[in-house]
Amino acid sequence: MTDAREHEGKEHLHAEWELVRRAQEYDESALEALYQTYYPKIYNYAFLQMGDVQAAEDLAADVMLKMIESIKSYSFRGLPFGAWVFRIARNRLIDLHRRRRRRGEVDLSATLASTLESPQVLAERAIERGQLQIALKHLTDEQRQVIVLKFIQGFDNRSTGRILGRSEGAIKSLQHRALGSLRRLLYQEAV
Amino acid sequence: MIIRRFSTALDECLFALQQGDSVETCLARYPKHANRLRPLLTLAYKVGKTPQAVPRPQAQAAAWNRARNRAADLRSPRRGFRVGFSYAAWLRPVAIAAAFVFAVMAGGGATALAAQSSLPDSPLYRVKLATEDVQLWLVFDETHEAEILIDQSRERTEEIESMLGQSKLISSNVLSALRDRNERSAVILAKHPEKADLLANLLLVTEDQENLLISHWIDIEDSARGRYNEAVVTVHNIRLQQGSAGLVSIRADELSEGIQVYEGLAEQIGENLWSVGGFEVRIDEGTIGSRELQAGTTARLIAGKSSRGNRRALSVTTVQTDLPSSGSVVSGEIEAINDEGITLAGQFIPFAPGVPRPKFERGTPVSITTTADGVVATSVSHEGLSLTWEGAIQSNTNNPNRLEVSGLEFTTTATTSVDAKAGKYQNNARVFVEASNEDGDLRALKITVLASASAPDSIHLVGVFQGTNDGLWEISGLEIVPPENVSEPAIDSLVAIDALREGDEIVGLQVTVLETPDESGVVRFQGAIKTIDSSLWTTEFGNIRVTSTAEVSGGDPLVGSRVIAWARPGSDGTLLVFYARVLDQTSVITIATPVPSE
Repeated sequence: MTDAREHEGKEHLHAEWELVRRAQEYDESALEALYQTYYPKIYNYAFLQMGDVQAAEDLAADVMLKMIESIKSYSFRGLPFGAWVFRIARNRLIDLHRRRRRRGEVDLSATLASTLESPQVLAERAIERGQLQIALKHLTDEQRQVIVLKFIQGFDNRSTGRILGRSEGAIKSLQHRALGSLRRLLYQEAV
Repeated sequence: MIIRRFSTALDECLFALQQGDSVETCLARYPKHANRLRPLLTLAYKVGKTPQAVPRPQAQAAAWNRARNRAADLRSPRRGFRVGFSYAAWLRPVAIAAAFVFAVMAGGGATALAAQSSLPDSPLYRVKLATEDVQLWLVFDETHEAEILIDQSRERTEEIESMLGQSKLISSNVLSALRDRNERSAVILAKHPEKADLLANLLLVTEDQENLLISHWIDIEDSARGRYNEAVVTVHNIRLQQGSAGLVSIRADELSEGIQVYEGLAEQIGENLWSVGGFEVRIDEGTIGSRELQAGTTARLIAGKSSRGNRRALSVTTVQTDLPSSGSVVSGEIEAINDEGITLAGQFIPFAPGVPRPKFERGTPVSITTTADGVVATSVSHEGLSLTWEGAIQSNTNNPNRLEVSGLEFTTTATTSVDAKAGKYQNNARVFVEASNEDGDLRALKITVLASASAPDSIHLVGVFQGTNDGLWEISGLEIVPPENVSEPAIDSLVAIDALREGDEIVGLQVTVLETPDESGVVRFQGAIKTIDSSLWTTEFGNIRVTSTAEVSGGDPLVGSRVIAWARPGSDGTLLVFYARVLDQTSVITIATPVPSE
């Protein structure tokens, strides 16, 4: 990474930290700025994994509420604030899946995926149409998380590891396997 | 050449892609793995370009409303200032500090060194603060840490002074850092009452800071107002609580409409409720100096104003009426300046603590006051006045931010100070208004109630002559009917005019040119007369000579009356006054009778 990029990254990190400190005092403009940044990201994260607009909106709203309620407990550990927010989202998503399973509810994305002919066709079309959630459905949960967090949300290995509760080394291996699996789904090739 | 494992090569390429490199660039770095890397990198690139699912705006807005209400609930139990806070809170900035400092160490010590002299408007300032934080990591003795924090707080004072000296606005980062250092040191010292010397240091630093911040309300960036209020209440409450976490405190929202300075007769009108110079204000345990305040004395108070219009005093002091201790201002061409003080009209005036170092500027007003050590400069302002106006208050009740004086309307702001020592600030009171013209809006900077019974339609004004339109003179944006048979002054000349208000017109009676644009060496003094010995007047600034050729308007000068005088340096070292305006027709300041020397 060049010095300029490194400097820019640190600038951004520091600016966000300043914003978070204000938000910890419930400064409305700071909270709103964080909200406007993270609501769309969490919505996108949720939509990719659930394929349901309403469910994604509910989860994003829920995560944002939790963010505000817990923001005073957030402490900076050298990772972007986003890693903390996505960690909340990840936990909420796990809770949601657990509740649905307990209630015997059918996952909407699973229904959507099963209506189509084959995973390969599904995945290829998903990439073409930008509906990645259909292809992601055929990956393991951890592989799916790595694809979304690293390649769509843009987190680095350390942040992704923090969100998923895994080490950086584990993320390196996971991303290799995740990309390989996705490629097999898309192009029917062995890696 | 280093041979890397495939997963490491993939990881490095994915990172480079995230940073904006192309797939081909990455592959060129790992020719051995290129065939295996290409499809995975291409896929990762495509995934990254997948269009984002965009939420519906109405759903996002509705969710924000719920979140905002929740934030309001969490915010609502108003918490007064408490010095106590957890160490975890300050560990957060320390952590980010470490990140920065380690980055700087990796990048080279030169940056860190350069950062040490940086000011809050520099990109390196963050590095400076971060370096300070890391410095504290290595300190395990709490009281030593408090000592360092106090030094760092003092550094914030110097930074603010430097910014002001360069005519720059004060930004939120330095205010946050100032608050942070003070709070942290106060928390430590609250646990170590045996460290009275450190506490005394902290109280001195915070006193300087409170004075500095309050006198520079106008020099704060708009976006930093919230931080400013927090910084002011922090230093105030530390001073108030004197090292122990007391319950009495001032809240930041009590300053939301600004901080004003009032001087006048103090009268108690209820429990913790006083009238000072006609202004109702709460003076209580949260007010520094409240215990010494006695009804019937002349008081100077600094009060915050809340959005509800309530005033709460931060501090109150009794004005010594045997000394002309406030209100003296001298302005002219600055001859010399150093860290110690300023030389103006041949006289060296040392800086009082907390006075920012100004630039060399012609006409810069310097507020001076007499202390036990002699005359010192208490503030230096770059803002020259564009108009002074003397008349009678006609209405100050309908709109608290508007003031009509002999037909001219002024806007009063949070920075408008009021000197009501000579009488109450009320309708029909004769006042002297110092104002600036902001795009046609006359902003009152200071209002002084005068001891004078001149007729309400009698006006005296000083302003800049800008030209003639349709036979009317334009003076600092006002149209004046010029006196008959008077030649037009040079454009940009400073003029004093005695005038009458006749309906909508201001009719000039007499005009004096005080200074032309190409003139230098003219000094303006504003203050009280301490002694009069024939043509020699003694003032705080020194002796001024008023010869028979000088023009004196406003009445006969008296010992103890306030005066504005324009002068040029004389050959004997005194200033030769050529125009003086006497503001008070009776003495408003008791001058102590000099004890004859034996």
